[in-house]
Amino acid sequence: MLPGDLAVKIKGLSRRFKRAWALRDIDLEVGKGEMFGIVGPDGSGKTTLMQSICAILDPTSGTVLVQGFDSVSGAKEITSRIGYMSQAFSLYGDLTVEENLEFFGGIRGISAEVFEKRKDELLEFSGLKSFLKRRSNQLSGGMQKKLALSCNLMHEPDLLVLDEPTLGIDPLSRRHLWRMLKDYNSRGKTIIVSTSYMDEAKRCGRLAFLLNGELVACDRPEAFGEDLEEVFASRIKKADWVRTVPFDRKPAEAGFVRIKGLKKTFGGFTAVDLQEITVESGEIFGLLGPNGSGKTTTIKVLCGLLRLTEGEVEVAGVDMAKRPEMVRGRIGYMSQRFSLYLDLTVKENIDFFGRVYGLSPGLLGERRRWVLDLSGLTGFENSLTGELSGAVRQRLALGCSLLHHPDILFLDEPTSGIDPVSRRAFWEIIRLLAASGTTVFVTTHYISEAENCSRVALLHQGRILALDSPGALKARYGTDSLEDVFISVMEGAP
Amino acid sequence: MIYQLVKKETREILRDPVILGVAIVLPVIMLFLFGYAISLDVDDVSMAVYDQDRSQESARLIDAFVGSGYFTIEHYLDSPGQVDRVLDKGEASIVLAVPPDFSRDVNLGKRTEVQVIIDGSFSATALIVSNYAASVVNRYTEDLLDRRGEAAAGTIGINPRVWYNPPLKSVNYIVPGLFAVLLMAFPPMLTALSIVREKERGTIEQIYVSPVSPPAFIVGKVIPYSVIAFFEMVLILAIGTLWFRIPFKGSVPLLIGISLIYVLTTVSIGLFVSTITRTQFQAMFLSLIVTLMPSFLFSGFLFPIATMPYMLQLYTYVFPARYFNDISRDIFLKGVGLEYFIGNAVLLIIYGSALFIAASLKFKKKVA
Repeated sequence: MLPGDLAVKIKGLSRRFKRAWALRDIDLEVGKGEMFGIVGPDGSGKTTLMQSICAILDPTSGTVLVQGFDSVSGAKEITSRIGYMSQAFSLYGDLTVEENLEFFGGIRGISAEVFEKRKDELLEFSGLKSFLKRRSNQLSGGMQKKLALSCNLMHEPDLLVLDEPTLGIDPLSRRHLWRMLKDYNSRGKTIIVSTSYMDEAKRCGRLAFLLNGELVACDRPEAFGEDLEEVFASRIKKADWVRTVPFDRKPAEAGFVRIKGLKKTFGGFTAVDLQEITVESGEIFGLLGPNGSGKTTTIKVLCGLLRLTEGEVEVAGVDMAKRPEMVRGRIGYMSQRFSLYLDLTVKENIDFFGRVYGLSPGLLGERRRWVLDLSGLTGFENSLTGELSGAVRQRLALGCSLLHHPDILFLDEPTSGIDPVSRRAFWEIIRLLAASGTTVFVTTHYISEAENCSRVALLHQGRILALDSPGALKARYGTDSLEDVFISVMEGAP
Repeated sequence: MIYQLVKKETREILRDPVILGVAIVLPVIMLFLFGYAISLDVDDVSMAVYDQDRSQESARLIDAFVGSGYFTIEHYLDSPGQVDRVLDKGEASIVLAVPPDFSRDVNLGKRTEVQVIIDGSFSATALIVSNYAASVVNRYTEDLLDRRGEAAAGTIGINPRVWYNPPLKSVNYIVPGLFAVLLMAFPPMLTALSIVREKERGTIEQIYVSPVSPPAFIVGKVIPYSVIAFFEMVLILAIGTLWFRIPFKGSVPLLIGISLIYVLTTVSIGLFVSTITRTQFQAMFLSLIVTLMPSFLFSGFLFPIATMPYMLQLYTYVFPARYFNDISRDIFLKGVGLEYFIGNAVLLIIYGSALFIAASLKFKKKVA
């Protein structure tokens, strides 16, 4: 390839943060018009690489050339020519959809006529037209991502860099977003995108696989083999941390959940309105649905964090309409945001949560060993939690929420932002847990994960549209992919 | 481009009730608190009298106290023991004890003394009460000589005349000082928070990856917050003159002109804070330490700089509130023109420009 045909040329790029190397000796070339994917486990350096390409992070050594400009000396030239969507929502929440577009167009110096034309195109394309006057923080996660992408397409950059753009959004929005990306790419624009979805990785022209800051492989997806996830799993020589940690067997009736109508309203808005559901002990019950469909609200009602407005709900023998607070000692709750104290050590976190649950010192010592074993952190008791990778932190969080051996465990998007291999290991634990009689309620945007559930409920605007085992649902819709079931159900929704 | 930045910032501010609250309501609350609460004025001093003479002459002396308007007699005492009791219980802040042979000595033209016992537990007011008492006794003595037709030969009388704040009302002194404090306290904190908030939410990365230059970004922040500060200023000025009826002697355009320079300086402090902090929490604390606290303690707002130890006096030069505090009181109370405080004004301009340049240089479009 001639240098003129290259969008990005990276030579010997290394980047160090304090003592740790985030990137080591990367050589990479991305041609103009490519759809280039970056994959790798949590903490492998994906974001650092993208920030280096965007010229907002200087290399410790090596060079990054973007469209012929050096990322240190020509940072100004680069930043004015590219688009970058970071992992965080990069919109101004108090501004409306239109105002966000106007601002991002404005700082790129787009003229008024061009702005009007592109605005209409983008709104049409992203399906945001009817939300023009809505504040962006009142949009669903999926729509926010589409708006953020639109803001970055305003000036039609030749190179678009996207850091996990589909993280935490539902399959339907994910499909729309990729349609937008494919379309933009087909106009000859270069796109560099990182993702933790293997089906997205397959749609890229070429893939770079990062591991511990090093570029392990870079090739067409087909060259990696049929099952990408399997390929990456075999490359990642993880410690065999999925142990068969013994779980105490629960009495048969302990984790019973009986819903005879569950209604939760906020003001005049009905967030959730469920009919009869009975969940047996030891079930893994999945709640799927687009952003804002009522999954989190349902879980919060079942945990006693929100009071139900109407209906009859019994969780582990506790009447949630009357005495929701009684349920707390019987359940465990872990959300995507489940925050361990990052400036405490692993041991201090475990001990803190153990004492909160009122464990005696003897029992706490026993359970601490159990949690350390579960999270593969034995020997790392005195490490700061903030220094652990996301996947390890999440397993520690899971362990902490299991310290008191709850009858029912509620997991709200527990695997968001975790790499596929770690996700798989996480589910291994969940299955063992269920096998011992603990009931597990789980929400997720990774539809493929829901295959692990004994039953899944598909929610839309607070109501259940379908409820059955994954196998039965697939048979009913005549497909072998749960994701297709999801799309069919949601597109058929009123 | 700056226009776009200002427009965006303005929209965000107008939609965030917290910012508006901090910017407008908080200064007004502080103004009223300080306007009413901080008063070093002493009047209606509760007084007890232990008159052992009970004569026409002693009655005249007591009348002189009451007539001064500063003292209210709460108790008449009959024994020395009662003197202790009223002071211990705090029923009187001052006790006047007239000796038994007071009128006899006065009439004989002999030198005599009355005793004044003052509750000194709060030294500042005790000093004032003591001065009041002394001046009452002086006036009584002059009056006495007058009645006898004897001119006080060879004695020098002080004829005090207080300029700039003749009634010596604390509020006249507090409010112009508050100007310096409030404009130092809130605008920089809001500015610092607004930039650090973008860091926390990640929106700043969008700014990094854009043609927006650091000075443009900073100016885009400075303009809206300076406008807010300007509103604060007009509000305080209006409440000060209309509600607290503080005499405004100087020129309004001059005060506003200088205030603008001052506000740009304080906002630049906020900018600088934002470039060296990463979280709103840090930004808030650092702002408190470098703006709010020194503006109270080291601006001469409450504690006169001239009475501070020399090293601390040097320290006060670090904070711009000190320069503006002088200017504000000069314009408000003295009504003097620019030529009297040009030195302070120039220092402010240098201070503000230096900070602005430092903040622009420190602001790098890099995530780490």
